[in-house]
Amino acid sequence: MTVAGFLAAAVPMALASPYVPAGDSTVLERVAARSELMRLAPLRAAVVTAPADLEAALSLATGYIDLGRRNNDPRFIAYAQATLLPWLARLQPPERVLVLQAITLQYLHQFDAALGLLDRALALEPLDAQAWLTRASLLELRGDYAAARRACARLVRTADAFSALTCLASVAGRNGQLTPSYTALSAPADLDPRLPRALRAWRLAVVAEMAERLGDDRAAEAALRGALRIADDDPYAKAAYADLLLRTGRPRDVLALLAGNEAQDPLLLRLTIAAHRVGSPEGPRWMHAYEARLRAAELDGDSTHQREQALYMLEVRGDPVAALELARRNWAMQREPADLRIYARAAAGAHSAADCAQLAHWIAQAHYEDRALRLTQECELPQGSP
Amino acid sequence: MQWRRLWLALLLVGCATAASGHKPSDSYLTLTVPSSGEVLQGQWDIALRDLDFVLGLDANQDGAITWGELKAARTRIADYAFARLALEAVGRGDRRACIPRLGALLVDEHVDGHYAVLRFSADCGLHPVELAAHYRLLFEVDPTHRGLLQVIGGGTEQAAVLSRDASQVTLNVSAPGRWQQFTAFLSEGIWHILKGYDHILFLLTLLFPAVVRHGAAGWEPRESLRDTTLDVLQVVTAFTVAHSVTLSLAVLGVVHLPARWVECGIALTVLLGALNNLRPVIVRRRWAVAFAFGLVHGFGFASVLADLGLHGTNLALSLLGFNGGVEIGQLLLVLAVLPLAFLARRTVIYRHAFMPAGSAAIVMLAGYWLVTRYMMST
Repeated sequence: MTVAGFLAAAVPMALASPYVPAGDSTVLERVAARSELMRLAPLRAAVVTAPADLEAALSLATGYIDLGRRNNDPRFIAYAQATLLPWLARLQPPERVLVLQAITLQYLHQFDAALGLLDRALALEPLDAQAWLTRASLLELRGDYAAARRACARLVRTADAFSALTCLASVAGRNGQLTPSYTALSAPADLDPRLPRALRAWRLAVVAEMAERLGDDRAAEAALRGALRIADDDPYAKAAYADLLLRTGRPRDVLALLAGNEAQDPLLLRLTIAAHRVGSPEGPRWMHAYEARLRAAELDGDSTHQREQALYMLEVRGDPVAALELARRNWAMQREPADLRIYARAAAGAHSAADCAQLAHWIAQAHYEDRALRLTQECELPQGSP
Repeated sequence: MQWRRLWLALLLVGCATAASGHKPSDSYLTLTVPSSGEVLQGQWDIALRDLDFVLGLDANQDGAITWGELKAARTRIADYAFARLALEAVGRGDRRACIPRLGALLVDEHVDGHYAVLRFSADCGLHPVELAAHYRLLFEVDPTHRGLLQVIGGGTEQAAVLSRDASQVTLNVSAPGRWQQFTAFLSEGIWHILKGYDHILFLLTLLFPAVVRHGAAGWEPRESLRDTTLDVLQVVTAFTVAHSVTLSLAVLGVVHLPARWVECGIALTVLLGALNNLRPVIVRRRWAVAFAFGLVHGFGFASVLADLGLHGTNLALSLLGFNGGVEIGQLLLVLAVLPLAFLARRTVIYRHAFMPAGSAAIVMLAGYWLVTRYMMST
């Protein structure tokens, strides 16, 4: 594509031509995180006035990462990186700076770089529970279960039993021991309300994923509802719940669940799919908005949304061949249940025996179990018996 | 302490897969270099959320940025932004900084929200042959921010992506000579014919029967090369005249057809052309067919030319160059195919196997194109 082609793609990004707004009181933009940002203002000032204050920089970066996570907004992740940058430029960056930077890289899907920083951090401080947990979740995400289990095991000594158990069971549940892991985690008595909310929400998300793979959609739904009660704005739990509703044929419930969440791409996509299925009048508008954001991401050379794009291609555009290409590239990067499901569905839709065989091979050697995969009989994937 | 630090990591457990839900921060900077003169015209679109983060636009801190608040910050925005953009004009063995001056402050909507639009002029003190840009906007708070630069000048549009690690770019903005411009479009024309399967196939459906004639016993070989050459000349001239007419009309904006109709139309011409070789309906005035169908292909060429972008170029020159390229491409194809077909014309294989089988294959392919192009348009 020539420069002209690039520009032809760039021009429609502005939806209209520049204008003068109607009046001084016309609201142009809402800053979602205004109050949180104001709370961080003193830390921001502290970092500027005392650049040698490590605690201030770490607290500010942590605050930004948390904002980025809750608002699904990479800008805040970038602000965190900017805060850590002067410390990373040092010859010997502090260990906690390395860990926080690894977390921002994980968020931006730079998994190799993130693991590299975690290794450096753990060489400096082998008892850093956060570094081990981040490392475990990265390795689990990539399907390296043996290494993930070793990282979880380190939590037994560095963190608390609740975290170590959740970590270990989550990995084992994807690696041949789904039923015993689920039994170990699903006792509700475990969920002491005095535990931090984030810990409880994490446990419930893991339980929900396991229940879904065991074919118990009711239990999965109950766990996701529980997670959302604890952290009502958690975009990850919302997307997982929406996926469950879509898989079980309840698109109308998705429209209710995600109403007002159009600003976040993953949730907008699920709204679009649900609207597409029920023929809702909002459908075309959301589809248009999602396509515009896809084009923008493409222009940015951003390939971190391949799973989402594959889902869009398959569900909304009905193009399994394009979906398969995206799902295959995504699978090379990450191997979560959702990555596997979209890959299998696209492979079945595109009748690709080679992709089905590759998936079947992976499932067999990882001893991965997932009853939700039964939907894709065309792909003839092996089923673990729960 | 342990709880607190774990809490953060736990929040991030699922996020690697949920991933960033917003577009990362970009600004859009467009610079127009005059064909003569020393003053650049610029437009810079910067996200309000970015400006708010560094400058605090939301004066009353109610979480909403209003037009009044934006206007009040006009000077601060200009000071902040222009301190982070250095433009330099290079020319006549000299190098000068371009001094920006903010004109209108406007607002525009992009996919990820509203942007402040800074219209400005920048006086360089000399007419630039090269333009150097050093971009540093927002890098101090957002290392992932990028500036999407577009420079219009010298008869072309150029684009560059500026990032923290690649914050400088130098672009040649001198106008290319007329000859350069002509040859650029000439080669685009040649390539379009040689790369565009549908045009090649259409020409082939016209060329296959040129070495034979349809008689009572089906296809019979023509005797002389003269007959064949005359037939090809008629057909190719008719095709050329026809597509030149519609190409010109479309590029000059006299006639406009939706691209999808044109694409379907081209597939249809290929289909009908190949069908005519299988079950000849029109055997005498094949040039008339070439003319009628050529009209459709001309619209196809026009959309290619439009995609190449005719910004600031000499329209007549580009049209002439592109059309000339198309003719050359056609001629190359004729020269490659015709001698072989002529030599093979007496063989049974050519007349009774190659012509029908080749035409049938083209019918199927064109039929497939027609269906897919039609479906894509609905």
